[in-house]
Amino acid sequence: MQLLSSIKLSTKKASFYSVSAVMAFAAVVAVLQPGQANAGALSTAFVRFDRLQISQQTTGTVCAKPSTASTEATVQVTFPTGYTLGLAATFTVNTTNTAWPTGGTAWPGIATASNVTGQVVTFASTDLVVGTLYCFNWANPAAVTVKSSASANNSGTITTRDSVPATIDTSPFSTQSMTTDQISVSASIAQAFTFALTNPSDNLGGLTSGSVSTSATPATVAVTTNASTGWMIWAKDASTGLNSPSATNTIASTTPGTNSTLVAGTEGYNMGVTSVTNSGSGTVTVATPFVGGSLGKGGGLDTSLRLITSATGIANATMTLKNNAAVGTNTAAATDYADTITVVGAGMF
Amino acid sequence: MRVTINHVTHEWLRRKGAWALAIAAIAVLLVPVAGLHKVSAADTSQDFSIQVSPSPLAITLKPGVDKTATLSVRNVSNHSETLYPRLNGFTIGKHGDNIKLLETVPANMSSWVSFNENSLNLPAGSTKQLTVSFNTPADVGFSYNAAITLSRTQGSAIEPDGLHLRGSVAIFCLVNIDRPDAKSLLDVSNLAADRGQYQFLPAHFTLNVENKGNIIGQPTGSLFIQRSYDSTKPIATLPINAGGNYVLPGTDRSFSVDWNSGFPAYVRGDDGQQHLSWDWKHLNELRFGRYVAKAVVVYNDGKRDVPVITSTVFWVIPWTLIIAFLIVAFLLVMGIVGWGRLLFNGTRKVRSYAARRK
Repeated sequence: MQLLSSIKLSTKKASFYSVSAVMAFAAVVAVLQPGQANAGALSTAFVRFDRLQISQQTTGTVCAKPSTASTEATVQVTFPTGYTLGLAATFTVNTTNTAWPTGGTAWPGIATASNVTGQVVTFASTDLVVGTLYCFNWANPAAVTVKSSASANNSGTITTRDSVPATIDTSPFSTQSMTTDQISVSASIAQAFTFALTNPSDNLGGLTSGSVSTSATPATVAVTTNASTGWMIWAKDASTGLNSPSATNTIASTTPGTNSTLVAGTEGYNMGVTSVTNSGSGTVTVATPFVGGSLGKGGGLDTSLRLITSATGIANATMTLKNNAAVGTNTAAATDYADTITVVGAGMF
Repeated sequence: MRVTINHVTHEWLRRKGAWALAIAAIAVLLVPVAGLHKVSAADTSQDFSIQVSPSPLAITLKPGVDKTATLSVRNVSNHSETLYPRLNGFTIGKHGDNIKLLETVPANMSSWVSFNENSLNLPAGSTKQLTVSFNTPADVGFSYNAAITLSRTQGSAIEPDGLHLRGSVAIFCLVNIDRPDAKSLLDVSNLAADRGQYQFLPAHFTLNVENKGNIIGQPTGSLFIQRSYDSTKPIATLPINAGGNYVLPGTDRSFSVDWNSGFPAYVRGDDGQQHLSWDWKHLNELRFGRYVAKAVVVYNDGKRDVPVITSTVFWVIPWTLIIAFLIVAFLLVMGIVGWGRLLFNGTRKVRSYAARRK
């Protein structure tokens, strides 16, 4: 029994000593390994690509701020996997300040790349001062082509090295590759917008105080477009109501800007959108004041253009516009009540 | 006499007046007090059907340099049209909404924007070009907005013969001035999913883009759906502002993006109602777990692409499928256990029977 306890104790001790030895060895190796023990991280490091579109050749800017005191001899830029690099000679550089970040200073000793191996491009450099942000541009778009697939995170590294060469500072950077980086109209079909107004002459018939009159054959507005930017339709009324020159009377629009339902015997005039059909994928919305659907329901118009319907996305729609009118028993009789409503349609921007 | 008359009248009214008054009232109600022009519904001569392209008209001008732009106008109706072009102003709300067309010509453009044609005569089915001339002054900047309207009349007089609707078409005209001090700056905020957790796709995202510069911006970019923020391989790449909408200086605009590719997924049927679609070809698109939506909006500041990044986290947990799977698994295990017990008990009985036989 005693022997068993002794064996167990010895095993524990052996394990402890082994772990200690391994840790000590690792520490010694880490200290002795040249270049890695002193490697720091660059305070600031980024590569700014001038174009982000996939498969697009691009110029760009490299900026880095050293944090470790040493004597730099080269800088290596490791471009993200998938980016296509040209030969070393294509990596011509300049130190023109192309909207560099604040404090950006020309990278001393920078020159055309001396080597391209895999994704790693090596440029010459001279000694850099700790805490100073250095930048340079590669000026030839043929040097770098963005990868062929879109990604929000393409990572690479910037590494400063001494003459050994050993790493002084290194830091990762990240960039994006986009399906499209600019919307081009030159090679595409122009956005077209078609606006049609049918049955523009509305017939409310004879107006009596016993009922609300509404359009028998209402006007319809149809919009067709190949644009996905949406559209808007506004309307205005030339005289804010039905006007009779002979009776010098106007059946006034019922509270422009609000939705109302006319009542027989009470003078009023409005317009409602009573139906909307949409064959597109977009969404059509009737402005609240002009929601129709039941007899006499709608909104009043005045002399300023008011939004009656709008759409987002690709919406090919037809809307029915019904005018409603009601008169009172004391409304002046005349046969020349008239009004002109202007309906304007426009594709959105 | 007066009394007699009054007495007679009173007597007449007493006997017949109630009926007479009722008839008179009905007559008043039925006799039209206002007549409106009657037009046959089949009359198409007044129909208005016009196609314009491009819409909107976006153009970049250099100070002091004249330039022209062409609008294509097509008469789609079956009768000839004469249209008069006009320049109108418009106002826009802070959030790119509440756009109001104005009757007035924008004061800051009227002196240097004109039309080469005062009117366009368009036979039925024909197309003609409207040339817009920009005699750009040297001191303009930085962006201008207007609407070009095409209508049948130059004024807004009331047509005297009844109630008429008059059609008109407008084309938004967006002008950027290419000056060295023009500032293109877009900011992205409020990327949000409409829900933090979905059972099935689609997931709906909205993104707000604010124009903090002084020229009109047209953002583009992608919404990357991925497992983590730093993932290098997105699960889906969805376009942002595929339609090419513009954001005017000092305003912001919301853009919507839907992630639909899931199994199963809600789809909108012909009846407009959403229903769950089980398309087994997309079985590999079963979504489960935590996702990151990372929006990368890109604009060009005149020299280079500028990416702006924001992200949000959401979950997809198909509870119904999980519960169904658990029930099936439970039944399967119960079945196996049941069969196992049955076999075990049967074997034991056979063995005990065999032992007894020995």
